[in-house]
Amino acid sequence: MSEQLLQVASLSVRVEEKEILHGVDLKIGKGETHVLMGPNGAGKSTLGYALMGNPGYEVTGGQILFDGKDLSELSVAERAKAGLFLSFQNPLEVPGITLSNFIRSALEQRTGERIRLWDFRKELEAKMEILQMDKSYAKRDLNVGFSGGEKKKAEILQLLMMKPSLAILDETDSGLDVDAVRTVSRGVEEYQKDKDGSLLIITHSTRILESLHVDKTHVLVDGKIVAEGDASLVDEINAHGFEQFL
Amino acid sequence: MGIDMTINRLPAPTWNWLHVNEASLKEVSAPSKGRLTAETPASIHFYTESFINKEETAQQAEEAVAQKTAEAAQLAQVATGLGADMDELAKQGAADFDIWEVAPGVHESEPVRLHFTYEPGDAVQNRIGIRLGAGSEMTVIMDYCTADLWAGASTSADGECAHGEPVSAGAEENCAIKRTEEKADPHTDSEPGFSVPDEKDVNLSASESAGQSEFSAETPKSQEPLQRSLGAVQTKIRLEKGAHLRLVQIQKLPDEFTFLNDVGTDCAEGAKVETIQLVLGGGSTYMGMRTGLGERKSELESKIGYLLDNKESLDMNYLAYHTGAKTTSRMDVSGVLRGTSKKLFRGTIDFRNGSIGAKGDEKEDVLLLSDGVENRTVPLILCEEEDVEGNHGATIGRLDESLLFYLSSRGIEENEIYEMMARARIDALCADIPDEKTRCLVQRCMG
Repeated sequence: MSEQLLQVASLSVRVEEKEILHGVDLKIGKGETHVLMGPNGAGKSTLGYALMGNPGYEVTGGQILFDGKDLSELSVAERAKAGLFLSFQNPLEVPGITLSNFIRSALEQRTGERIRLWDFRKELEAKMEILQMDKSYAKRDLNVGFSGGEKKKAEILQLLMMKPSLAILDETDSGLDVDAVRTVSRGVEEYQKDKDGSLLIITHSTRILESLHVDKTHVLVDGKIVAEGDASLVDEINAHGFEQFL
Repeated sequence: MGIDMTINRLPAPTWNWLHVNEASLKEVSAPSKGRLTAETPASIHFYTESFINKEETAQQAEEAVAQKTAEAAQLAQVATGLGADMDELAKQGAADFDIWEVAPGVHESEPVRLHFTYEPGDAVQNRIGIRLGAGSEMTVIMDYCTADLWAGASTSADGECAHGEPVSAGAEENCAIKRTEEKADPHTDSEPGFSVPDEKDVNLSASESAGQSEFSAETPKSQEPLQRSLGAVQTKIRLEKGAHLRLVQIQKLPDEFTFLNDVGTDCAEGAKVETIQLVLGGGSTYMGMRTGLGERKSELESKIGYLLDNKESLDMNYLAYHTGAKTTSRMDVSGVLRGTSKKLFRGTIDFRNGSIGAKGDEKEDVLLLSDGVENRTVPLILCEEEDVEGNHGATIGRLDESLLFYLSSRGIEENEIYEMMARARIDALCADIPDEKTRCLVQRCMG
């Protein structure tokens, strides 16, 4: 049993007037890969947003401990600095801030130290190569005019550069063709290898999981975890869908 | 005694109590001609208005002189955004036009660079004429800075541009903007330069009330420090059929300056004018641009960015005057207000008779970073034709929550995000400037 990194106990979350999550329990150990599956509208992304501290998602009950610390009092930025990372399903476009400058600024904010440009650039280019990203993207405004696939790669590039302890990937593989999924998957694998990082992968598909060792699978339906198992549960859902859990 | 000026008039006045109909300047003394250094590519012809009429040119063919005189007169007729009182100020100051002209069919990729330098205590004015022959293309870059900003024109100690992008050896050289040869006024046998401002002191004091800025002149008092300095540049442009002009204007002046930046353009059929204007500093700035889209399929694309802080104020008046069929105009304004700064943007799309099938868009996006700022946006669409399409929109306030969440999820604190986004607005416009030297100047201006 690995050391616990994330411990979610009886978590309830409300968005506007509607409660979406009803007492979710989840534990993720250091270096583990967990998969969260569920039908549309089950609350998977809500869990990701709530863990990251989106102010639009109100925690109405339960507790989130990350590396032994209660996250409830931490701002979004403080959670990120503590080692939490959320890869967005629909990354936003930010005109005027280049991908390179954004990552560098974020790293400097997290560490509080100025990063040497030469070292940063070298590492950035190496990571971009892993993701088969053209180097010109580094100088382009963040996500502006990027294709869906390039936006997802830009998210994984941020993951590789920021090296968080726990990465939540919110349908990172959605809308990608086979080759793009393979590339993104390679990036995720690199993250684990490099950092021994933990992963919570929210997905409908298994393609992104092909090169990863899955430790545990959770099925979320109507805001509750209704089933848990090992990697074989993913195959079972693939074969039979979610009907058995509804 | 100076003149009282009414400038930046709204084409269709609204309630007076809103204080947006115009701005006024009281007793503005006639300015002398300002310092200007130019870098002109070989294919661009330069002449001054006064040069045409002087005796020294008697040897020129009468016909050519007559033609230049007519062209200069045509330029003088171009209406501008600040309005007729700017012409009056020019008459008082006897400032003549310095004219840059590109011949028909010539596409010049190297920009004309016009550096206007200012010093505290200045009361100066320049008049610029730009003529593009049919099917020609050129870029004109004008910057309004103090001499000390130029003196500091080098890269930072760590060899990077201010925004953190690396500067390669070549780029570094480009960043260190060098003054090139100064164009001499053919009729000034003193020192190089178009003209040397005289020593006449003008003491302008400013008082502002309810959206109108008023400046009154006082008798100069020997060498006492001046309360306000004045700079004014009027640019009149004529584009012949199918011509394409890119005009970039960068302003970074100290708080004591009142600056008048006045532009007017007339476009012939299929002509296109693209402008980028950045206001990065200046106590009280008045900007105006009137674009006459008088002939079929002529186009305007105007981008304006501003970064105001402390007590700075910016008063703008933009008019796209559509009389030609299928003409198009677009005005994008993006800015940031901090401290107790004030901004008023008047943006008018005027569809007059004959502008069948014309389209006009204007939008403004303002980020308010302090409680004490004052923002006014006055979009106006006037219409005499039925078959036209006009749109306006404004986003005023703070950042979108989903954007804040996205950026802060990477560990960036909210106050830092606002700073980044403030800078990003200017950076986004800066990226569109087709000249690396100028992009570096903008970065330096932002610190």
